[in-house]
Parts: sequence; C-alpha cells; structure tokens
Amino acid sequence: MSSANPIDKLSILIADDSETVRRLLASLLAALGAGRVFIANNGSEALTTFFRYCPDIIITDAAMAPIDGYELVDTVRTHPESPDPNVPVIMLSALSGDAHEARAEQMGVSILLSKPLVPEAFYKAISEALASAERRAWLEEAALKIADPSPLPDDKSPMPASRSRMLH
Amino acid sequence: MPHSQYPSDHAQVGMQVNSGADGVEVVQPPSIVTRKLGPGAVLPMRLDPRVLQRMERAIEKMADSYEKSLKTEIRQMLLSHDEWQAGKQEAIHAIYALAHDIRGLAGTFSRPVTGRISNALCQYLEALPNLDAADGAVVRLHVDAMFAAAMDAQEPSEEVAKATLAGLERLVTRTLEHCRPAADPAHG
Repeated sequence: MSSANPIDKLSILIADDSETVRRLLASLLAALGAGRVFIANNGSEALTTFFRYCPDIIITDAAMAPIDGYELVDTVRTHPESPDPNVPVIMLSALSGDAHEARAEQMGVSILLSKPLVPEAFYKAISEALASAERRAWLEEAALKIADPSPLPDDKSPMPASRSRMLH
Repeated sequence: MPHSQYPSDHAQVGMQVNSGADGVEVVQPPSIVTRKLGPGAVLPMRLDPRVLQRMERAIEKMADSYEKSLKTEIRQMLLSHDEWQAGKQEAIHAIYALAHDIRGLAGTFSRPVTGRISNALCQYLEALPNLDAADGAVVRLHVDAMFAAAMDAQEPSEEVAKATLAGLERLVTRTLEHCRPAADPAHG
C-alpha cells in the first residue's frame, strides 16, 4: 500500500530570488506535508545545497543571478559528480514563449509550470515531475545500452546494462 | 513461473527481467517512484482535497501581506517612472523587475487583472530591442492601469479588464511599429 501522504517522504529544494515566492512555495509544501524543504536564494546557493543534500525534487525559478535556473539544471544533469543527474526538476516561471520552453527542455527541465501558481497545478506538477524523471532515467539507460551494446554473460536480452550513476 | 534471468546485475538497478511461459520478456524498469516514495507508491499521486484546502488556506494566510507588498511595489514603479523620465536610465530596469515579480504572483493572490496588465507591460518591454527604447507614456499608462486595478479592495470586472488590456495592446502595437531597432540590439 502506498503511504497516505507520500510527499512526507520527499526532500524538496526551492530556488527563487523572490522572497515572496520562496515563502509561498515553502508554505504550500508545508501544507502538502513535505518531509524536508531546503531554500536557496539563487542558482548558486541551490547547487551548493544540491551537492550537499541531494534533495528528491528541485523547484526553481528561471531568471536568477548569478546562476539562473537553466544553468542550475544543466549542472545538475551534466556535472560528473552530480549526486543525482535524474533528479526531477520543476521550473516555475512567469516567462513564456517558444524560446523559454525550448531552452528549458534542452537543459533537461522535467516540468515547466507557469506563474501565477495554482495549488492544484503545483500538486500535479510534483507527481508529473517524478514520473518524468522515471521516464528520463529509463530512456538514458536504453541510450547507454545502444551506445555500448556489449552483452552481459549469458545475456540474450536487448535490455540496457546498468549504470551506477543513474541510480542510487 | 516467471524467473529472474540476471539477478546479480539487475538487482543493482532495481530492474526486473522476467520470462513468461509464452517466452515474452516482461521488463520492469528501475523505479524512481519506488526509490523516493517507497514500495507501493503509484503515479500520478491521488489529489487529496483536504491537502488542496490546506494549500488554499496557506495562500489566504499570506494574502494580506502580499496586498501590502503589491501596493508598495506599484508605488515604487510610479516613483521609478518619475526617476526614469528625469534621466535615471537604470530606473526602467527596476520597473521591469517589479513588473516581472507582479506578473508571477498577483494572480495567485486574487489579483489576476493586475497580474495580466503587468504581464502586458513585461511583454511590451521584452519586445523592444533594449529597455532604453521604451516609450515613457506607454509604460506610464500600464503602471497607472495596474495602480487602478490594485488599489481597490476588489479588482475591476472582466469586461473592464478586457477593454483596458485591449486598449493597452493597441497602443503597444502602434508604438512598436514606430520603434526602430537601436544600434546595440542587446536587451537591457
């Protein structure tokens, strides 16, 4: 049986340069019953927290300085020492348009969520981000197998081999 | 009976490969959901209406302080506009930053019209070759409209909001038609 409130098992990192947004997100996550919430004022602080605590989900703004949300996600996904390259990332932004969406997708954002924030959409985004991260991990696993199709001993299966960097 | 073909390897990644009696291979990919939420968790998570109510109450608790903050921000936009018109070029950047904040938050706190006007101002400024090319009257009319929408306890009706936004959009369209790209195309 699943937990009555599975979110109470999650640790979540918020990165936003607006104090009001940080307070709002923290309040909503408290209402959701999130287990642990980390708060960062910008992308730089968020990366420090991510590498130290490896949260289960990242919720980030797009436009921040000195490191913006796109660079944050890119580092999380591609840094060789990233503790979880497949961590679900929700990008929350008032920006719109194809360029923003394309860049977010290119960097590996799991879910784009538009401001203004609506509680129901926020709740669903957390669920969808987890599902998206699962698909991402699975596709990467398959891609790695295609790139390196050497079979395991007695392996007659086309399934991808394990890569420890993807799972913990 | 299904049996695991590669227990040692796939156990590392939580992957299960089973062969059924008909020879079809059934693959259970590694589950992030199981890892993060525990066995039995499924996606999408059920939306509990009680949780949703708690979230709405959390927003209501912040609403009063946001109202004060919103009014302060709009007054600051008016002051920044005066400074900008008096020659302080960086003040237009402050106006954009405030408008960007308001478009992202006002709708959450029952100020959707203010948020939409703020979004219209941001879109106008984003369409310019740089912020220094902004037209003072266009910016002022947007900020005045935000002021009018936000200062009353209740925002204007949808009909008034639509008419206001349509008027601002016509003004922006005409202004952008006459806006020539600046020598430096970089956004401010």
